[in-house]
Amino acid sequence: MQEPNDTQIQAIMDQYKTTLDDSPFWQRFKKVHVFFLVTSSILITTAICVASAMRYFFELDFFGLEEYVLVAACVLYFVGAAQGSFERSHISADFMENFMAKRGGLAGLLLVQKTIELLMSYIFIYWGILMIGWCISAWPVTPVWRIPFLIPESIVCLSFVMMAVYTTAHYLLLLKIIFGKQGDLS
Amino acid sequence: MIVLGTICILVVLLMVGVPIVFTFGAATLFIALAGDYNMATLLPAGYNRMNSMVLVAVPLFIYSGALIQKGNIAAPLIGLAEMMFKRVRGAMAIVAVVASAAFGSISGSAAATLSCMGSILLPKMYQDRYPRAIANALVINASPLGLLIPPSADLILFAWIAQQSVLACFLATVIPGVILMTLLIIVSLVMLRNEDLARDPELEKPLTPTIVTTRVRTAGPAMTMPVIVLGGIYGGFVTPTEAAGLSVLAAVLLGRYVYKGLDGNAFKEASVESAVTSGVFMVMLFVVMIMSRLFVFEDFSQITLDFLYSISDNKWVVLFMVNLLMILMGMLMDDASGILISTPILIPVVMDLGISPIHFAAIQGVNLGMGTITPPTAPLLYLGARVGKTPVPAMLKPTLIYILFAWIPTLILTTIFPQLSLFLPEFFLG
Repeated sequence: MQEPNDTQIQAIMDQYKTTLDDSPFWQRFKKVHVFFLVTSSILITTAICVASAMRYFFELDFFGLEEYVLVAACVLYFVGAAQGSFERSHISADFMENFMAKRGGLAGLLLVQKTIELLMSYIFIYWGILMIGWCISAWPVTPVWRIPFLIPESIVCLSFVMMAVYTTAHYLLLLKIIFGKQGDLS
Repeated sequence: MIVLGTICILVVLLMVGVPIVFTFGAATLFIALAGDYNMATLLPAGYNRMNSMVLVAVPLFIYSGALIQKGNIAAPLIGLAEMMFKRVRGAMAIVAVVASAAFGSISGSAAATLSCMGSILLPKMYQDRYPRAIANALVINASPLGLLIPPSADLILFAWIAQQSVLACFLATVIPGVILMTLLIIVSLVMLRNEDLARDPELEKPLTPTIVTTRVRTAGPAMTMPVIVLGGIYGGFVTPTEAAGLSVLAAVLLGRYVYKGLDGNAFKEASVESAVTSGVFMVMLFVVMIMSRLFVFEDFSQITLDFLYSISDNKWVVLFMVNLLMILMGMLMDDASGILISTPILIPVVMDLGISPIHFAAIQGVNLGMGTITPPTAPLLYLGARVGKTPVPAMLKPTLIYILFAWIPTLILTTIFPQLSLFLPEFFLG
């Protein structure tokens, strides 16, 4: 396995960027994310501001509004997390990468790092399926509007699937780069 | 055995650079397998715990911070602060600290504070001949003030995990925050004492009513934001979540119609950036909720307490070790991850020592704030290096000076004088 130098490390990063950010195929996923993220942000803010204004000025209480706000919040959190995987912006300690880039062994480190990430992303899907299974059997609903928990928990599961898809795309690309076959996943 | 295995997994995977959410996930998987726990029941319980209106304040404060940044709302505040301290040599250092605290109090996010303050203050400080390394290190060190000056997203998280009052936790960090601000200013002025610094040409001349009126009028609308947020919460008019929603609304209106920095694209960018930050944070929280439940089943807190007591049964020595543990955590992970993982384990430990959880909120706030600027992980140090275009090694010396003479004294004072953190909560909330 050839050890990449600083320029090649930059090339790896550029290649990642090129693949998911500039490819028309992956851009469609991003557009869907952006739509849900902007919409849910606006909905949550509007609901909270309107509810507090109505309560303060007219002493009116939107009973159970929080049940809808929390579904929108679930979309925001978990589509945001999926977009985080798309842009590889999940928080990690990268000091070892910097150290290895200078000392050698970066390719091996990235391979270990991304393999664990990939395996865990599939375990998350399994956990998501377990959650849905539990929801279908127990069928919990919210107290006021009887919204089934299956809805937000399906969003969680779908988000885990999307996270795994993006992690796989990044992983395959890394393999191509490390093993010397420059390519494009689009 | 399970404890040792969990610690090994956490440390090794963090060192390897696996994203923290998957590191926590791997530790959770290990405990579940080793302890033969049923994940099918733990997972929905984890989701239920994070399905809370209090937590909605976190993404909203992050959103508000992003909108303030894109909407050019912070610049007039800096202009006003600069005018107020114009007679002091090194005024921009004071401005950096005060403005970061003010911005932090509006946005509730250290990273948003650093990105916004750094991009406005640093070019001006470089232009005024402030040494690059000191100026950049100062802005980086001042940015976690947002974690201590309320409202703070991290403290909402702490209060929620520790089952404490959000308002009490907000108030607990105010005095430590003010001490830190004072020390950062003193250390900066000492470091800058021999520098040949320039000043804003408009402020070189005596202040005229026109200059004062212009700067106050420009900053006035921006000043309404802390009034809405803090006045609303402490006046009892709104909950922290509603205050966060109102701060988003205020940021949109001010950024769009008053300061005119927020067009459609900037709004979309702010929405997506803040949603990704929140998403990354909340998915981590989801995993931690399951992990912390497993910690309870495995009695991690008692094991930690037994371990600490095996070294010493003196309260102060144990508290010193708790601090040391949190400093190490801060060196390895960001502030939010540190709070997520340490709070469920350490709250029972400190309560057993007879320490109030509200006092501990302040200790943890200072500790993890310091962790964000302490290498090797130091997310704010690296972000600040990018914002200020200064290499990290150049900033290490001034950063170390700030840590030694501002952060550590604040941490020591906060730890050994509980009244510093308990006075305001007791005064306002009884």
